Amino acid sequence: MSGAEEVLVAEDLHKWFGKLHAVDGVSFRLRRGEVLSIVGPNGAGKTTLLNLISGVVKPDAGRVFLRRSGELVDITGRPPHEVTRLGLGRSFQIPNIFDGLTVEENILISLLTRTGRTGVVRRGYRDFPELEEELSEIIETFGLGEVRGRLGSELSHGMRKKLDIAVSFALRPMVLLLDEPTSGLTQGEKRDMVGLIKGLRGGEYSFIIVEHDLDVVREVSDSLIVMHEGRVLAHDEPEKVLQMSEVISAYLGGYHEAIR
Amino acid sequence: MRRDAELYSLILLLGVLAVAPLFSTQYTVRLLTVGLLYGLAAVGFNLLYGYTGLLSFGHAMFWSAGAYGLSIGLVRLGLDPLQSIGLAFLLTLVVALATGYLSLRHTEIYFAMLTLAFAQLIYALIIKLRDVTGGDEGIYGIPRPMGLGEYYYLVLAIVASLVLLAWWIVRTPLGLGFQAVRDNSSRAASVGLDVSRVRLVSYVISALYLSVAGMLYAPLNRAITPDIAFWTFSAIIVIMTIIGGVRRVAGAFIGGLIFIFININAMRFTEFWQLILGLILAILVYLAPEGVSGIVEKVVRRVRG
Amino acid sequence: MDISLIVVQAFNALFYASILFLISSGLSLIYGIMRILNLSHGALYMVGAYVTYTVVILWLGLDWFSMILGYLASILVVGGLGILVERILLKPLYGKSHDLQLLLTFALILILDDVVKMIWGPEYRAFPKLPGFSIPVGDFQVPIYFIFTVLLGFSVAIVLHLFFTRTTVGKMIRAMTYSPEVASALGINTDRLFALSFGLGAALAGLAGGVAVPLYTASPGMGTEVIVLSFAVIVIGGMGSIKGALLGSLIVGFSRVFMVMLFPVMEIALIYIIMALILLVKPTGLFGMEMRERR
Repeated sequence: MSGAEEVLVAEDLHKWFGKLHAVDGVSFRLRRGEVLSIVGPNGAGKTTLLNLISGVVKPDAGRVFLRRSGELVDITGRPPHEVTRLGLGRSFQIPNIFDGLTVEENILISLLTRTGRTGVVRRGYRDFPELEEELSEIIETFGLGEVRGRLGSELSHGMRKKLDIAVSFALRPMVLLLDEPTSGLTQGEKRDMVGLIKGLRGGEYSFIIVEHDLDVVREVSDSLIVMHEGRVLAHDEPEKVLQMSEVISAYLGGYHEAIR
Repeated sequence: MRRDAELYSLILLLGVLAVAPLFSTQYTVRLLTVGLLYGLAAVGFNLLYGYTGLLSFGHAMFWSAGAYGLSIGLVRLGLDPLQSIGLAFLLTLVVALATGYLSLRHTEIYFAMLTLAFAQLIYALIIKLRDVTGGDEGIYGIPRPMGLGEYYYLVLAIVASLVLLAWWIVRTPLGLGFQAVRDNSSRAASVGLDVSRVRLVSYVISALYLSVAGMLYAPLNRAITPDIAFWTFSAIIVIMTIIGGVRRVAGAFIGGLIFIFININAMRFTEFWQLILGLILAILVYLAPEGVSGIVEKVVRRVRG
Repeated sequence: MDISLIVVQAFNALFYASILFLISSGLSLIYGIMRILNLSHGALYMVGAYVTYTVVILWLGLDWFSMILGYLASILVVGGLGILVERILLKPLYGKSHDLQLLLTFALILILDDVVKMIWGPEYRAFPKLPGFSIPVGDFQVPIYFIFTVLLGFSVAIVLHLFFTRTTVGKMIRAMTYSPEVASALGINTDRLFALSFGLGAALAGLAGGVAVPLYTASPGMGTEVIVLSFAVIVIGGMGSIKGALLGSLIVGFSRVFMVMLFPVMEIALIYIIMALILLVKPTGLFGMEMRERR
C-alpha cells in the first residue's frame, strides 16, 4: 500500500460557515487502492470535507489535487461536473438518485457521461450495445436485478442506497467518496453493503468512506481518520487509531456511547 | 412497450389530422391549423418544462420572435421568404440566448418570474417600436403563399416532423440528460453532467419550437398583433401543456388540440368563456394534475389489468 | 427643464409607487410566508377597484367620507375573498408541486375577470373626477388626492413595519419567513397564519385597487398588467421583504414616470432592464435573503 502512488491529496483545507470553522486545516494523502475511512461525531466536518473535495462547496483555503494521466492536477474549486469527469465519484448520505427514471436509466446516465455521449442525438439512449452489457454487469454486481425496470421513486431505502453507489461506481472513478453507505440499513443489508465494498476494493479504485459503524470501518478500511470539530485528531491504521489512548479516553469512549 | 404505444398513438393522431380536412368546413380547417400550432408550441414548451423541469412563464416571446421576425422580413423589409425565415430564426436565437443566459442562473419560481419579466420586456418593445412592429396595431398584409387547404398540409407536415423529432429527442442521451437535470440537478452534476449547459440547450431547442409555430401562425392569420407577446399568452401555453399532460410528448401535443376545442366550444356557448376555461383548469388541478394523457394511461393500464 | 414640471412628475411617481407598494407588499408577504406566487394578485386588485367604485360612485356619491367607506369595503371584501381562496382552494394543494398552485392562481384570474364582467359589465368604469381639490405648482396642478395616497402608502408601510417588529403575530410570521421548520417546531400554528397572511395580502391588494380606481378607472383585466410590474418590484426589492417592496416600488415608479418624459420608447422596458441588472449583481434582490423553496 505505502508503495502505491498518491491519487488524491488534500492540503490544509479550511472552510468557515459564518463563525463556525467547519473544516480546520485538514490534510491527507490517499494512495491507489487504499480505503480511507473517516469517523467522528455529528458536526465534525466529515460531510463538509467531502463537499470540499467533490467541488460542491468551495474551500476558503487549501488545495485538492487529483491524479490525472500520471500527474497531480489541482482541482480546487472546480465545479462538481468537472471534478466528476476528472475521475472522482461520490454517493450521498441521503440517497441521491433520479426518482423519475428507472434503475437502468439512473445507471445509464453515468455510463453515457463517462463515455462522453451526453450530447448525442443520433442514437437512442438504449441503442448502445456495449453500454447495455456493462449496465447488466453493474446491476448484477449491486444486486439490483429484480428492480431494474422500476422507477427510482418506487425503491426501498436499502435499494436506493445501493443504486446511489451503483450510479457513482458506473463512472468508474479513480476515487469514490461514500457518505455513510450503511446508514439506515437493516443488519442484513449492512452485511451486503460491506460485502459489496470489499468486492469493489483492491486494484485501481480508491475509496474515502464516511462511516459511523466502527465494525464496518474495521472490516473495510486500510486507514482511518478521526475528525473532531473540523480537525484531524488521528490518522493511521484502523486498529492503531482505535487503540490510541487519547482517542479513546478523550473522545471515542463518549462517541461510542453516543451512537448506541 | 409503453414507448411504442406513445409513438403509435402519435402516428394515429397525425393520421386522423391528415384526413380531417376532407370532412371539415373552411372554418374548421382554420381552427385545426391553429390547433396544430398550439400543439407544436406545447410540445416545444414541454421539452423545457416536463422534461427539463423548468417552468417558463415567458414562452410567448419566442412565438412572437418567430411571428414578428418573419412578418418584419416579409412586409417591412421586403425580403424573400427564405431570408425572412432566417431573420426570424436569428431573432429567436438572440432572444433565447440573452434571456436564457440571465434567467437560467435561477430555477423554480425565480426562473418563472424572470422569464415572465423578459417576455414583458419584449412585449413593451413591440408596443413601443411602432415603426418596425406597428405598435398596438401590429403588422397587416402578411402574404400566405397558398390557399388555406394547402397551407394546412404544409403546417401538418412541419408539425408532424417536429413532434416526432421531440418524441425522438427525449429518447436520446441528450433527452435523458434533460430528465436527469429535471429530477435532481445536484446529482446530475455529480455524475458529470454540465447542468447549466443542459438547461441552456433545452431552453434554446424549446424556443426554436415556439418560434417555428409563430412563423407558421403569421401567414395563417395574415396579420399579427402584440397580444401574442403578452404574458397571458405565455400562461395559455403552460395551460395547454398541463391539460394534455407533461409526462409525455404526445400529451402536450394533444393538450394544444384540446385547448382549441374547449376554447371554441366555450366561446360558442357563452361570452363568459374565460370563466369556463378557468373552472376546467381548476378542476384539472385537483382531479387530474397529470393531464388527459395521464388519465388515458391509467385507464389503459387498468383495462390491461 | 421646468422645475415645476419636475415637482409635479415627482408626485406622479410617488402616487404610482404608493399603489405599486400596496400591491406588491401583499404579493411579497404571501410569497415570503407561503412560498406561493399569487398570479391572481392583480385580479384581487381589480376586485378592490370595482368595490370602491360601487360604494362611492354607484351608492354614496363622491366625497372623502364615502372614499374611506369604499376603501374599508374593498379591504373587507377582498380580504375575505382571500381567506376563502386560501381555505377552500389553496389548502388542498399544500405539499404538492408549486406549479399546481401557480396554475390555480392563474385559473382564478380567468374566473375573477369574467365574474367582474358579469357583475359590472365589460365597459370601463371611470370616476368623473378625483376627490378633493388640486394645488397649483407653477403652470401645473398637483391633486390633493396624490398627496393623500402617498401619505396612505407610507402609513401602511410604517404600520406593516411595526406589525412585523412589535407584535407577537408579526414576529411569528417573520420567523416563518426565515425558517418554516423552526416556526412549526416552536409550536406556531402555521395553518392559521397561512390563512391570515393570504387574507392580509389580499386585503392590501384590495386597498390598492380602491386607491387606484379614481385615477386609473376600473376594467376587467386591469390586473394583468400591474401584476407583472409588481413581480418586477419584488424581484428588484427582494422577495418576502416589505422594505424591499417599498424601495422596489419607488424605483419602478420613478423610472417609469421619468422615462415617459425623457425617453418614452424605453418606458416599461427600462424597468425590466433594471431588474435584470440587479439580479446579475445580487440574485436575491436588494433586500432579499436566500430563501429555500418549500417542498
